[in-house]
Amino acid sequence: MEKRKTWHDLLPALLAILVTLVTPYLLPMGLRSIAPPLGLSVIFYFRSRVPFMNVAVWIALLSGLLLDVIQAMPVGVGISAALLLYWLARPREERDEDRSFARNLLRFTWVSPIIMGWIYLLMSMVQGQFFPMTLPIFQWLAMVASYPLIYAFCHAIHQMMLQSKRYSL
Amino acid sequence: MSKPYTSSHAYAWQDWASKLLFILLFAASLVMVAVGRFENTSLQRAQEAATGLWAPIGHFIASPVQTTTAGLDQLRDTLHNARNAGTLAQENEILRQWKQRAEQLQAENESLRKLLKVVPATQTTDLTARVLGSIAGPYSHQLQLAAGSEEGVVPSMAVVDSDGLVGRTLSATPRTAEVLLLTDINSRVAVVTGKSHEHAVAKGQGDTLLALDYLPQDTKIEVGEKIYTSGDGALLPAGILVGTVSEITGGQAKVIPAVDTSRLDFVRLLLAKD
Repeated sequence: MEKRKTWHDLLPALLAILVTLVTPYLLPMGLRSIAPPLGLSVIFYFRSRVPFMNVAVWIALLSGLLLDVIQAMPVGVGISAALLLYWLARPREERDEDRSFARNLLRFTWVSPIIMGWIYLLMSMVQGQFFPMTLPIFQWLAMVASYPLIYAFCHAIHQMMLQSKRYSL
Repeated sequence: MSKPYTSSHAYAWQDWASKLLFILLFAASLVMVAVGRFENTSLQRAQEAATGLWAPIGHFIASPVQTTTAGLDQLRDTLHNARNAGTLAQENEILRQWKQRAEQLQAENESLRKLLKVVPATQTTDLTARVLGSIAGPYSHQLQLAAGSEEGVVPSMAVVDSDGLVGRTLSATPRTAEVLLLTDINSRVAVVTGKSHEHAVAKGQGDTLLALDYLPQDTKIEVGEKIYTSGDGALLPAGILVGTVSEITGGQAKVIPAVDTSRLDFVRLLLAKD
């Protein structure tokens, strides 16, 4: 029998949407282009830390769609990237050490370039030529550099969820 | 670790079903990319509508940052002006003289045109629009404007500011419009060089510079030369400043756009009159 749903179930989704939609606008115009994939960092955190969160796949879909809209990418590019992240960030239940921040950051550091590379390759295929690599690399650096902040936010939300006894690691 | 609240059999089935769902969704996303590549009308319209709906909200969220940035810019300008007041006064005097001279030349030009019965160049109508912000991303260089089809914006209008050409309108919803910037990888503009008068195509490269294509083999183009729209193809009006040649390497010229698009507040949209 499933437990009753509470509003806490929506927190990761809301956070992913908020970060994807809002962060680009909190930076000066010249720097906005590096912000949109930060929503992917939220997906990574919750997917890697909350094993039985069925809603994660829908968060991934929605965040990917928003990424497509905000970055004016063909619909499907961001969605496939977010789904790929969903798969790469799946929880490894046998590895308890993944729960530490350092391990989580390390895992994010090798998973995130795969995602950014996937977006780069799809966009280049769609366009028929390779894009300059400078901005995607900046985007990835911004993702890694800001991950501790995203981690702190997500961790606080996660604690709220744990306190509500809805999830357990 | 606790399992969810189902039997192990049901859990295995759920696990299998979620894997299948994932594969289907992933395949669907790739199909969407392919569909968008070959037939993009319906998906593109939906995306444009979503972008148009989000634009005012995004602008509202960005307003504190924009206000702060504008305030800092204003402070920097004030300090700069205070330091250079003498030079500015001198420059102002020179500009006044040039304005007077330009007015004389304009009058002379008009009377000579009448004498020669010259067919006038394409006239343009224009409207001014506020910039809502950029559509952020390394793969697209676009701007959103707070004016749309209700204000008369249509695709392929030239978008300019006081420094020169910004780009051209790509699409318009009733209240917003998207502008393809010159630096976007899909941007192509027919241009003519100011001094050597050579025709070429300024191509966006997805970074800060434009590349000049189709220059003649024996090109006489020089670094520092101004580049203007040629009006070829009647897509954009002729004579709008596009940028300045910054480097020439191996017969390939690079151009710095005249407009810094990260600091735009308002732009003008030009449409050739029928």
